[in-house]
Amino acid sequence: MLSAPMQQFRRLVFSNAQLREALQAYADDASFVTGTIQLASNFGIVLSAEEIREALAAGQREWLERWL
Amino acid sequence: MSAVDQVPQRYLPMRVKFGDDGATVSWCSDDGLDFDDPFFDETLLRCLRRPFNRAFRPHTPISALLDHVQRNGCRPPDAFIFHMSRCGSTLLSQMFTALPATRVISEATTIDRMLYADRALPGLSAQTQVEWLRAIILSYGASTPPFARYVVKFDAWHVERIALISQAFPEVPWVFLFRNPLEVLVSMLAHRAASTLPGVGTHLLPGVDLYTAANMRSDQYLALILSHYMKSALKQREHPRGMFVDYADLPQRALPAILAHLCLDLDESAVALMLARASRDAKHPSAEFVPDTSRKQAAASPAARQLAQELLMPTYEELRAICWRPSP
Repeated sequence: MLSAPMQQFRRLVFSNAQLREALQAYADDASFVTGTIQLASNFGIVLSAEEIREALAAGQREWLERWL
Repeated sequence: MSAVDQVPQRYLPMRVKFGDDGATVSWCSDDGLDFDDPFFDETLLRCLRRPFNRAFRPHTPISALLDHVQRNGCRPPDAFIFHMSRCGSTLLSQMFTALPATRVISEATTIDRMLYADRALPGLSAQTQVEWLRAIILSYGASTPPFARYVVKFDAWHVERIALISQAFPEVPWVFLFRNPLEVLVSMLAHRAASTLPGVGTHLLPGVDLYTAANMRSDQYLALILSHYMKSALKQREHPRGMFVDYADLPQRALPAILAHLCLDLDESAVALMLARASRDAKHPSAEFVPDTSRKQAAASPAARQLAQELLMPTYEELRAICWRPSP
């Protein structure tokens, strides 16, 4: 279950092209985690590194389970 | 899962999931990629290298897919490619990727899911399944500006679902590619695809239960699979949009006839691009294509020859009788 701040940030991401562009610029996981925390804070949203790593892991799981 | 995720433009379905709440779709940014890899999953995997695409993927109910294709002016495909595997289908689909502004979707898992949604969701109406299938295929045709051409290559076993596909897209012409089945059998025995293992995914050979299949010799089971593919194609011999092409006539000899059948009017330079692409190995484009017919024939074991002769060659000859032939 996603936290309320993560749900709020996801809504923002899918409705804000500039924010997506900024997040897409990160090429590796470590800088993505740091950058996402920073960008979320610009909108007054507090995310933890663990939450973002979980989101990354969920994406990997989804790929592995795509036939299921 | 949030049921209200917005799907931005340039997002594509990456997964279709069936559950108690019906069908849901996960989406992924196309990352500006051309989908010119031999297989859809390869390009999708490239998209997922980017951390953003793994961490932030919209999840929606299937209704959002239907809305998405209406809103985004998604175009239907120009052509479908069916095949019996190891017979030049990747070659042909890769030749289309050589053309500018051309989208080629090759063996997408998501399309497979829709083709067998009736097995995952018993009670699903045929009409709904056709709508879902149409929507998932249309969704890959979204582009601004629009693609000049859009081609979908199916997995080999999808030949058994041509009737369903034709309900979703009655206007789309298709080709079925086939090859001397002994050569295909030799290739499959040398490099067996996981999808040909009994019961993998939703696919089980009709009339053969899992116990029987698991106890069968692998060459026998593979021969039965090939027989099923070829016989499924033969059932469509009267299909008004179908064309049957033997690997032996690929790529040069049959290409003009294939393009004419698909109503694709290409100039000489475009055809030259396609043929240049054909000089590369379809599944490993960095390598040059090396003809392998003689090698495969020579590598066939006596058992494979017997299986091919008994189970496959008669159907192959039937296909040869209805396929496109060069003018004498």
